[in-house]
Amino acid sequence: MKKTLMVFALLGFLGMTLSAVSALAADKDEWMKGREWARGTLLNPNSTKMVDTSKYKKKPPYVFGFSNAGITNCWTNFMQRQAQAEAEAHPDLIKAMYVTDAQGKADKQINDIEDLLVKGIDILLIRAVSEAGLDPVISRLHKKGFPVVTISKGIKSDNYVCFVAASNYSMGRMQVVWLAEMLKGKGNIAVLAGWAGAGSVVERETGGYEALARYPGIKILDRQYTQYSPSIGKKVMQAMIQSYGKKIDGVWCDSGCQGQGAIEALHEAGMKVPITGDPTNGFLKRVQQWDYEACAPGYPVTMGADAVNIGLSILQGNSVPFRFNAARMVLAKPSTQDVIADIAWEKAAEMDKPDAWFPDHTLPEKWLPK
Amino acid sequence: MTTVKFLFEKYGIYIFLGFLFIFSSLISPAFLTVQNIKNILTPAAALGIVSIGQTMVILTGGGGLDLSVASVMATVAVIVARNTAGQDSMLLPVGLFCLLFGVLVGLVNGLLITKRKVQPFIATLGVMIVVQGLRFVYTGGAPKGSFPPILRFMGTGSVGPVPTSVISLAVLMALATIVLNKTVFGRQIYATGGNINTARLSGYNTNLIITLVYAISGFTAAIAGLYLAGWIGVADNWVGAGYEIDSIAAAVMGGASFAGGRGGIFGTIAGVLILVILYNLVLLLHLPIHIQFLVKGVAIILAVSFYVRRVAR
Repeated sequence: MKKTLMVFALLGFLGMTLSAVSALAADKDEWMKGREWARGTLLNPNSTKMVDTSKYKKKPPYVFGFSNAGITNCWTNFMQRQAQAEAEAHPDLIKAMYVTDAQGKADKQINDIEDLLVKGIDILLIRAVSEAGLDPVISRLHKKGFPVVTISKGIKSDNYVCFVAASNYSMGRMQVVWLAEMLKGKGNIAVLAGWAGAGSVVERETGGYEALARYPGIKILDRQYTQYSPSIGKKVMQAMIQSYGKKIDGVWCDSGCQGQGAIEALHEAGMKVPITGDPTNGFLKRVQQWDYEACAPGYPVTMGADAVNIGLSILQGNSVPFRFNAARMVLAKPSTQDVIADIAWEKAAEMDKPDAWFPDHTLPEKWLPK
Repeated sequence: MTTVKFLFEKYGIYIFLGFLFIFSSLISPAFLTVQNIKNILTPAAALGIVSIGQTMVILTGGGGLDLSVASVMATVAVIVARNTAGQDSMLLPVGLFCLLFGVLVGLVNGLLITKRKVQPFIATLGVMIVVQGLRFVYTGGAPKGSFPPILRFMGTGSVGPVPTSVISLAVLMALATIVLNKTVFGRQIYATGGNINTARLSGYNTNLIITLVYAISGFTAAIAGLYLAGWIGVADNWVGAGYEIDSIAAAVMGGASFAGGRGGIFGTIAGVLILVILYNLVLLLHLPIHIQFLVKGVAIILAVSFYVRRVAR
C-alpha cells in the first residue's frame, strides 16, 4: 500500500514538475494562440447564458461600427487596434469597420453612434463612456432589434446581445490571494488603486476585499487612489513608505500603471516586497529588472478582437454567450499555491519594448503602434 | 503695529511657509525626515521651474497666464523618450530640440496674444489642446522609448544631500531674479504689467516683451518637462498634468497679480513649497488624495482675495 502511494506521489510530482517546466518553457505567442474562449468559459461558475441570435442573421459582407469611449490611454489604444486588426483579417466577411472616438464625453459618443448608424452599420461594438449615460440610446437600439456588443465597459441595463470583458472581480481576487499566499496569511499591505469610483476599480476592489476577508491576518495599512498615474503612484508610495517604513509587507496595485511608479519608490527605498499589478509592460520590465516578486493577472487587450468575432457570430445567426470572458494571461513570479503563472515572467516582459505596451497582445506587425 | 502689518504684507507668504513647516513637523512624525523632504523637493523642482516662466507671464499683466505649460511638459517627455531611446549620447541634441520646441510654442502663444489680440486664457488654452493633439498623433496613444540614465539622474539623483533638480531650480531662480531686477528687460516686464499704456508711451515695444515672456514660459516648461520625465521614468502621455494650475496658484500666492506689475520669483517659489508641502501632508495624514484638489483651489482663492484686498486699500 505504502509503495503504491509513493509511486503515485512520485508520478504526481513528476506531472506537476513537467507542467511547470512546460509552462516556463512555453512561449508567450504559443500561449496566446487559439485561446479565444476556453479559459474564460471553463472558469465560469454559473451556467453560460446563451443568446439566440437567429433574428440578427444577415448575408455578408458586413459593416461594423466601433464606438470607443476614448483612446487616451495605451490600454484602450491596443484594444482598439486588436479590433481593427481582427476586422481586417476577415475581408470576405467585413466590408468595413468605422471607428469613432468619443474623447471621454458621453454626449459626443451618442452623436458618434448616430453618425455610425447613418453610415449603415450592421452591428455596433461599443466601449461606453459611462454605464448610465449610454444606457438609453443602447437600450433603444436593442429594443428595435439592432445588435449591440459592449466591450470592457457595459451599460447599466441588460439591453445588448453580448458583453465582452474579463472579470475585474476575479482580477482583484487573484491579486489579493497571491499577496496573501506570499505573506503566508500574515502581514500588512498598502493599497494603491486607480480612479476612485471607476467601474473597473470598484469591481477589482470588491473582489479583492472579498478575498481579503478570508485572511484575517492580513491588515491594510493605508489605501490611496492614484488616477492610474505612474507619477501619483510614485508620490503616494513614497509617502506611505515615509509613514510606515518597513511595516509594509506587500503592495496591492490593481494595475501596473500606478504599479510602475510604486515599484520605483520601493526600489529607491531599498524595499523588496511582493507587489501586484497587471501586464502593463512598464511594470513587467521593472519587476524583471529589479528582481521583484510580483503578480499580474491580465486585463486582455485581445477582448477587442474577441468582440469582432462575437459580432461575426451574431450576424451569422450563431448563438453567443451573454457574457463573454476574454482569455486572460496570469503572470506570477513566483507562482503560489493557487495563483499559478501561465508563462515565465521573463518570457512575458518585453524589455526592448516601450512601457506603454501590453505583451499579451496578438497584433500583427502592421497594427502595432509605431 | 504698522510695522507688523507692513512686515506681514511684504513677507506674509514666507511667514506662512514657516508656520506650515512647523505645523507639518508637529502633526506628522514622518514629515520632518531628510528622506521625506528629499521626496517632496525632487519632483517639486520641476514645478518650481515651470512656475518661474509662469510668474514672468503673469507679471506682464492684462490677464496674462500660460495654460499650455503642462501640455508642453508632456510632449517634451514623449519626444525625449522616443528619440533618445534610452541612449545618453542622444540626450543633448534631443534635449536642445525640446527646448526649441518649448520656445516655439511660447512664440505662438505670444503672437496670438499680441498680434491677434486673443485673450491669454483662450489663446493658451487653445494652444494647450493643439499641442495635446499633436502629442497623440505623434505617439498614437502609446508613447515609445525610454529615458537615458543621465536624464534619470537629473530627475532623481542628488549631489550630496541636495537633489540635482533643486540645484537646477536654484540656478534658474538666480538667473530669473537677475533678469527681473537688474536688467532693462526686467524693468520693461514690470512696466508693461504695471501700466501697458505708460510703458508704450515710454517707448517700450510691449508686443515684443510679451511675446518674449511667453517664449520664456515655453522654455521653462520644456526644462521642467525634462526634469519631471527624468523623475517619473515612464514615458506617459500625461507628464506634468495639472502643473499649469499649480504654477498659476504658486505665482498668485507669491504675490503676482493678474493685473500685472507685482510679484517676484522668490514669492512664487514660496508658493510652490506651500503647495507641495500641503500635498505631502494630505498623503502623510492618510486623507483621501482628492483633498489635494481642495487645497489647490482654496489656495488660489485665498491668495487672490488677499491680494485684491491689498490693492483695494
